[in-house]
Amino acid sequence: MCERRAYPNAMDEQALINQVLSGDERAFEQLTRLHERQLFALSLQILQNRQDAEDVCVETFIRAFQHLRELRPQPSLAPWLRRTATNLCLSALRRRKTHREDLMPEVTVAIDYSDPAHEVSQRDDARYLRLCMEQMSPAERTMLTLRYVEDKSLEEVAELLGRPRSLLKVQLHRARKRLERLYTQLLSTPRTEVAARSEFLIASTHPTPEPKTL
Amino acid sequence: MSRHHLDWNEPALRDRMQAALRVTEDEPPATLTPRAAQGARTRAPRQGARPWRSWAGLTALASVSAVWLAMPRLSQPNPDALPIRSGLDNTRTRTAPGTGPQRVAQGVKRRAPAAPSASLTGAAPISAATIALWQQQQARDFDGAARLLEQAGQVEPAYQLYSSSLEVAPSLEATMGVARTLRRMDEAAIATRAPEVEAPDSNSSSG
Repeated sequence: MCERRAYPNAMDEQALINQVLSGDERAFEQLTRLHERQLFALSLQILQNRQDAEDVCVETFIRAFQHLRELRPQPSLAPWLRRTATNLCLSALRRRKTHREDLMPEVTVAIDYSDPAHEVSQRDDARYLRLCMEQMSPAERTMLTLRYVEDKSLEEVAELLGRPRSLLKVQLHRARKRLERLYTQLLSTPRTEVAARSEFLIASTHPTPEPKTL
Repeated sequence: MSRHHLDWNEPALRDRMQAALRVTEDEPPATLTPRAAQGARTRAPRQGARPWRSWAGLTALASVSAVWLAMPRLSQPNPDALPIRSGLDNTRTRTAPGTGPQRVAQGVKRRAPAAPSASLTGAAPISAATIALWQQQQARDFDGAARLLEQAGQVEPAYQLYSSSLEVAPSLEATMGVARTLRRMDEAAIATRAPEVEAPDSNSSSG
C-alpha cells in the first residue's frame, strides 16, 4: 500500500500565494517546496525516470506561477498541480514512445493463448510487467499506473485525467485485458529476446536498479 | 525463487504492479526548486498576469474578433442575393434585379475590397496587426497574438482586453468597446489608401 502524505496547510499556501503575487521570489520557492514531494512522486511513478519527472515538475511549477492569479481562488493548488503534472507526463510519454519505437528491438512471436495458467518467478513477473507497460499507449500506461501502482481510487484517477468515472472504468478494463494479452505474448518470446528488450529498457530509462541476469 | 500463478484480478494485479513498478526512492532532487524558481523568473510575464493565457482572456479575445469580423460585413451587399434564378422556366439563365447600369454598379461595389482583405494587403501596420491577431487566434497562438499587438504598439485595445478579462466573464460593454476601437483602426487604415475599383468585366454584363 502506498504511503499517503498530508497536503500543505491551506492557510500557509494562501499566504504564500499572496506573497508571490506581491513579487516575493522566495515565497515562490517555499510554495514549490510545499508541493514538490507529492508532485515528484506522482511524476516518477508514471514516467519511471527521475530526470523526466524532475523536468515535468519544473514545468508544472512554472505554469502554476504563470497562472497563480487565476488559481488563487481555489482552496488548494494541489489538484491543479497534480492534473497539470499528469498531462505533462502524458506528453512526455508520447514523446518518449515516438522516439523509442525506432530503437526498440523488434520481437516477432507466435501468440499462444492456449496456456493462460502460466507460472513465473516474481522477478520475471516484474520484468514482464515493465516491458508490457512500455508497450502500452501513454494513456493506458498512465491510467494503470495511477490506479494500481499509485493505488488511487477511480474517482481520483478520473479527476486527474479529466474523464468521467464510467468511461474510465471501461478504459481500465480494456487496458487490463490488453496488458494480459501482451504479457501472454511475452511469455512465448524467447528469453534471450526478453533479456535484450529488458536491457534496452533499463538503458533508456534508468529506473530502479534491476539484476542483470535472468 | 518463488514461482506464482498469474492472477489478473484487480487486487492481485495491484500487488504485482506495485512490486514491479513502484519506485520507492521518491525524494525530489535538490535542483528541482531552484530550477523552477529560475524558470519562473525567466518566463515571468512582463506586466503582471497575461489575460490571453486564461480562459476569460481567450473568451474575450474570441468575442472581440467575432464581433469585429461581423461588423464590416453588415454594410456589404450579400453576394448570395444577386444571382436569382427565374422562377418558372427551368433554364439556367440568371437574372438580377435592376437595369444594366445598376447591375454594373452593384458588381463594382461587390468587387471592391472589403475591410478585412484591404487590411491584409494594406501597408497600415495597425490593420495588419489586427488581421494577424485574428490569424494567430485561429491558430490558437495567443502568445503570438499578444506579441503582435505589442509590436504594433496597440496598447489601448490590449489594455481594454486585459481589463475586461480580469473579470470572470468580460462585460458586453467592454467587448463592444474593443470591437469599436479595432474597427476604427481599420477604417483609418482604409481611408489612407487609394480606392481600388476593378473595371467591370465585359462577360459579366452579358451573362
